[in-house]
Amino acid sequence: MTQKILARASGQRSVLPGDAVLPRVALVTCPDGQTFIDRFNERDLKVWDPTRLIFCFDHMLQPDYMAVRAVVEHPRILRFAERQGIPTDNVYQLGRNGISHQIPVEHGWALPGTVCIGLDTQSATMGAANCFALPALYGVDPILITGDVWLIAPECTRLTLRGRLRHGVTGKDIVYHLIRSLPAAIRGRVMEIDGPGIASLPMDLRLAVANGAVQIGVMTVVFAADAVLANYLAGRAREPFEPVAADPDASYAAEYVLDLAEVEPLVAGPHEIERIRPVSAVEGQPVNAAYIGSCSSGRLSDLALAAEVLRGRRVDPGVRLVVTPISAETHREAARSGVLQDLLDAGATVTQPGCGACYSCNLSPLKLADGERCISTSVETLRGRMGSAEAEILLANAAVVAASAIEGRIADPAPYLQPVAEPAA
Amino acid sequence: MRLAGRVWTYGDGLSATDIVPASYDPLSLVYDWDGCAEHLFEDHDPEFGPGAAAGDVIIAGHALGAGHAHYHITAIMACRSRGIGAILCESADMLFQRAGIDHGLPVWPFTGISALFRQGDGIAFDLATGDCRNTTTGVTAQFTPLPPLIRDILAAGSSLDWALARAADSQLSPSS
Repeated sequence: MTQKILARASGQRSVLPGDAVLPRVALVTCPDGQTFIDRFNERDLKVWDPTRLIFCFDHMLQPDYMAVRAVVEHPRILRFAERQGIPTDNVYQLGRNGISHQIPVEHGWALPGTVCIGLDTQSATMGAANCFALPALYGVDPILITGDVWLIAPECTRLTLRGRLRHGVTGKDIVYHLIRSLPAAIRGRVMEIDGPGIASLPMDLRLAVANGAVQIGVMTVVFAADAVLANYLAGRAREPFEPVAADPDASYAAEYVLDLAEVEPLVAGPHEIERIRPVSAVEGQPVNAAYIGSCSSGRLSDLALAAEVLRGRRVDPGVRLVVTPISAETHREAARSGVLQDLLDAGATVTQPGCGACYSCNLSPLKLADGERCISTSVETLRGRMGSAEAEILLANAAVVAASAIEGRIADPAPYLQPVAEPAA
Repeated sequence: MRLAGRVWTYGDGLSATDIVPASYDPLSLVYDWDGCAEHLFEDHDPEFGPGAAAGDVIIAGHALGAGHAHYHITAIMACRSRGIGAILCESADMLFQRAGIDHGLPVWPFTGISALFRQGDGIAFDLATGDCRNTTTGVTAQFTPLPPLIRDILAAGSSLDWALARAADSQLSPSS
């Protein structure tokens, strides 16, 4: 699929691993911690196509020493958009905002068969929509000038999914399962995901799996296109698109198979993401803070799973539970569906949508102090990521975080989950 | 595109935060790359700071650039600021490699290169032809040269300068 996308976007008949190519990009999506506006203003540079650049207010950076703190950055983005002729619709400010690789999928910008660039590290998330999604980080300037991106065409691996996840197991658990089980040789390759198991994965879960590309160590993730994706994009896609499918005889650098039924809730950290264990290995460790949100797990299905655990129960008085929906749309859906009410009734603090507590410089009431332990659905477990370098961050899915918030210690969510009839094998 | 200097060898898994410790992240947040360069390998190899010279080449093993991509730019720009000629390796994180090429620092995998050099050896390497020589031992090797597209970016100094030149050629942009 990757080679087809890159060949199509490069105007070439075919592309092989190792080829240096210049594919056209369909989208560049930026968070509110951008890197290029001053340079573009100083040198009077023009964005190649203002209709294909979007800004998503998500980090809302606060500390005064940051060059891109929200109070400066948001007005600067609005002025830049006006100066460049970027449509107002392309700037997702408060009320429409969300994380910069969630918005493009939710709002039909990241479309199958295209090359999509994100400035943020976790931009591979968009690959859930059958596109080639690349984080460009500090290399976004030339892409904005020319509308194409230099690439060394990567080798691809195939992950075939079979079976279905058990209730209470999420895309985040798939990511941790893959970090634990895939060999180092996958590093730098693209992971293409297909197989009969994907039909059972809603878009929320695919996005969470693709979001883990950096942590798994792959360049990006490309999900196969299917009816689930087509239904999701109906009414969202902003222009016609043509999905790509792997040829039956497509060759891969390596192939792996995962039975989704084998995936169990896992906990990563503290300090190192590779430190991954079953919940039972850390069960009972006291927690002071609990966080549900981020580009890994702030989607409606995550919030609903947490609400299922928390419904009719109370967060332990010694724990502060903060919930940050991934986007304004998710926030509204959570309100409409009653999920938000369940969370609030249980004692959660629900914040404005965005990246939230995942990074300590963001606007969030949840900061960790020396000696504290937090159980979180977020992306990183690095020292100091959520506040004090002397705090511990453990990462797990929303059900584990919610159960732990109730008990004041890391807990298995199984007793709190509704029994679900398993489909016949 | 010719490298000439002394070699600093490191093994597998050399991360961006081995190159510049994460504790200097605040310097990178204000783009103080010269400040970051004063702390190169401070924890990982205290010899590097006083010993490295402009033109020296870092040779790593597999999985160069492991770890969170947030720190990549700091490592790349600090090396550039110090005048490091290139970071060569057996295999690299794609995003780390992109950060290097984008900012004019060759970061490139050459299978077998780490076995050719020991710490402190001299290197003469023409990235455009693939001719590589250990000037201390006299051993030579022929590697696949960098693709022309990548050489163009490096020759321009950065992918931004390369893009500006392309835009000027095609009258796409900029306006001035």
